[in-house]
Amino acid sequence: MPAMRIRGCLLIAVLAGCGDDDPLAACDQPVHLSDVGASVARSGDDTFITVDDILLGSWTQVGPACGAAPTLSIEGMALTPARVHLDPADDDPTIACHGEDQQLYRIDPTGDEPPRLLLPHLRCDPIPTRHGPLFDTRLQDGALWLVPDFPDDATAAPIGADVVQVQLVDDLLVHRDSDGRLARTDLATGETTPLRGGVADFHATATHVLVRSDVDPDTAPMHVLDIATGELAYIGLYHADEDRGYSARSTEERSWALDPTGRYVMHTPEYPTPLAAFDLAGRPAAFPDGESVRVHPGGVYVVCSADAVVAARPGDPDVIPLDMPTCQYSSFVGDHLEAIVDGDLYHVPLDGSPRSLLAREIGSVREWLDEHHILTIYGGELLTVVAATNYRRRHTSSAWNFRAYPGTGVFFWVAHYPATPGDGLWFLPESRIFPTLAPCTTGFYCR
Amino acid sequence: MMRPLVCLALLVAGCDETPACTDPSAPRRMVDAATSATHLVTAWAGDHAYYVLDEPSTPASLFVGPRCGEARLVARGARLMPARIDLEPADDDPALACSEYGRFYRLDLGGEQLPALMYPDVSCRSTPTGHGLLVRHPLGGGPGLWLYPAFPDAAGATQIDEYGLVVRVRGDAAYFYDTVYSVARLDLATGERSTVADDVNEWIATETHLLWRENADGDQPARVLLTDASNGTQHALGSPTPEPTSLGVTWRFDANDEYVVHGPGDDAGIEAFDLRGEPVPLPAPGVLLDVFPGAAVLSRDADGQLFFTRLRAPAPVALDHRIDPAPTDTSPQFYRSPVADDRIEVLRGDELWAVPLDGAAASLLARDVDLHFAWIDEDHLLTLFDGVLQTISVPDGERRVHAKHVRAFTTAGELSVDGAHYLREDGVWYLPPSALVPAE
Repeated sequence: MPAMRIRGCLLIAVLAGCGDDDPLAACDQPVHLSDVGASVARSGDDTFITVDDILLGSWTQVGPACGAAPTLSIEGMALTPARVHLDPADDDPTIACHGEDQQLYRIDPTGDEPPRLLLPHLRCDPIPTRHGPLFDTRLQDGALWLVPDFPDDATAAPIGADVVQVQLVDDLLVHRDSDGRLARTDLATGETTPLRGGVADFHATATHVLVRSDVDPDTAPMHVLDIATGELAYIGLYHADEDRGYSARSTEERSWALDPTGRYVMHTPEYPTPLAAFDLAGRPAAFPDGESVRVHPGGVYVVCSADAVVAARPGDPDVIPLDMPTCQYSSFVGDHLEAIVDGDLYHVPLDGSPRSLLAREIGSVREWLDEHHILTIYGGELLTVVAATNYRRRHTSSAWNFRAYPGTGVFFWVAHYPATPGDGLWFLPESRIFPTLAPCTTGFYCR
Repeated sequence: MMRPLVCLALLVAGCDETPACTDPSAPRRMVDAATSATHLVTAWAGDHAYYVLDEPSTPASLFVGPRCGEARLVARGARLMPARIDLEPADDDPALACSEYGRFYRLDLGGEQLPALMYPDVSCRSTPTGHGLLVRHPLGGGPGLWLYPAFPDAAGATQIDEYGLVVRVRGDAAYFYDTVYSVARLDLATGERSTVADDVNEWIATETHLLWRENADGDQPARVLLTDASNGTQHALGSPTPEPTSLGVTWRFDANDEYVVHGPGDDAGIEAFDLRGEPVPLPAPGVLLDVFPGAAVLSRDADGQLFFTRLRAPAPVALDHRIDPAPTDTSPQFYRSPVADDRIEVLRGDELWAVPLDGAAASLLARDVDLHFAWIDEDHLLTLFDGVLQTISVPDGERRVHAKHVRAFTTAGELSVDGAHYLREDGVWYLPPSALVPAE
């Protein structure tokens, strides 16, 4: 069980050319990177391949390009690139996070130096903000730390104490402590304003906070606090038996929430209790019932039922039937939905216009590689589909997931039951993703 | 086994002076740093000392330095302690540290480099034995137990078990779960291994015996059994009970591992058994508080009256002290005395009193004693009272003030034979033993 031994050759197929001097050369063809379901992440020019499994143990391999020729191997812990900035491109590729211990490390991707413990008083899953990452800490006072010059913490500023819940709203951080005190801190100025005590849960916008009073864990009143005036408006009652902390009925994942416009309170309790909407004064607002909702950031709710799918806005009595039979395998893309209907992918406008076909035989796991090509898993096959022609390039069978990195390639996972050689993590270079023999019917692309 | 590394670390640290302090009677500043810390933890490793300075709102600081030399800041934000590899801490490598998450780090004792991760596949919460280091994976790293005769050299390491959870070493015996519900014993001297008990819910052990509670459904009563590891002989102790408390609290071995004492914590009474499972008379009333050497127990009744009862004694001895039967804080309600085995000590307000175990009247030991005090010898104790660190001579009440504006102090052992460290705003100071008590 020696530490940091190189085990890459055990895990990387001969195809990868273990020992190859040029790591890029090892990535110009499909590479079997791991025979188990390893995770993958990119940071700068490096690829992190990790396993974190109670039975298989933990290990990390870091290497340039697709990671086929790892330069740093660590047995015993799974490190991932630390994500601390709003734009991941700004993240330092030499700073990594150990998820199990929530510790930051400075790593040397060349493997010449061992990982070094960095800022161990910070937990390594910060909230990125425009003013620097906001870290939970291991300090006894339970304060958060805003670290503007990360990883230099000399200018770090503490926020709150015994903080147990936070929400970032633009430059404003709303936070609740273990005693139920709610406050708001302007990250631009550092000024903290107490808002209210006796709070068990909250959801905030820039002007209002929906609060659950800490009076009874089973039943408690919900109010909307007007931050400017301090006035409270009663909305309704929280019931623990139908208002779980997590709501699977809404993509908002909260049973009580402010809507994206900030003008309504939405109640999405456990089915079959009806969906409901209220204005900020607590007056009931028009909203259709349904089994579940999908919330568009623009404020449109797609209300899904077994027999119909409609678009609605809280307070608007008019609902718009959408041209899709179910919400299954649908997702927002820009200002519309993309939905799988009878195995085909459709563009579904939210204004009720007829749906239009995007591509045939597309799976629920899919990603647009560019405006013409879709990578998908359909019937277990990993495919690149040319949307306009339905030309398909098969990559493998028995794939169950993938992750695409534009400019680099696609990592994908293969599994058979029972397990067979070749299962695990693979890399497909970008040069092999796109169809090369596709008939050029439109003329605007040919590779 | 780590001597070469110790020497190397000392060289790296620039510890070119002899370990003996130049002025053995004078306080010496070990950490020269302005600090707002209010809490101090110290530990020895090899010929170095670790100083963790802590306070609620800023990152902890770890300073490490040679016994008589100034310590340097080697880690900030981490509460690292010396990694214990050898049975004798004096043989441990001061540059090898262990984190609260069970990770090994190599410290740069010069303070230039961040702590470097070492042996990431090995938990530093490993167990030193007389035959090597019993090693497990770090938390989340999966099961498995290995014995490294010369850690970190893996060449001679052997895997003891593929499961190997919850390792407890008693003398030359190592006990561990070898499946989810069975406990095995490994004789580290002979390598002989056997499964001692199956269907185990919880357990404690001596070198020769395993005391365990069997699994039961829900709140069903469960038996507590005593198994002789040498021959597998098994005895059920008392009646099956559904009590929710754990072994080691309600069931304990006495200090000599010759008896088992059971204090269920209610009016069911305190009972004792010998190693054959036979009940031994123990007329102790009330709730078990502690088991003393010499097969005796301290208990209290519902009013807080303390009793001291020896096994096979005709009756308990009522002591001259009551405690709060329902305390609202976690402060100690009594102290075992490291300098006298015929008494306990209690704080009555700021006064430290001796309560004889024979039932005689309590007597005042010293005034102005804080919750935190340490005996230096049988006549002197060290305490921090209102920020003043002082030695109190118990026979005559004389006080020797060592320092003012002190925030915390530590001593290395039960008795302050290794001197004491104290924390002030200007750093950490060391009081050598000769400074604690003036020479006669």
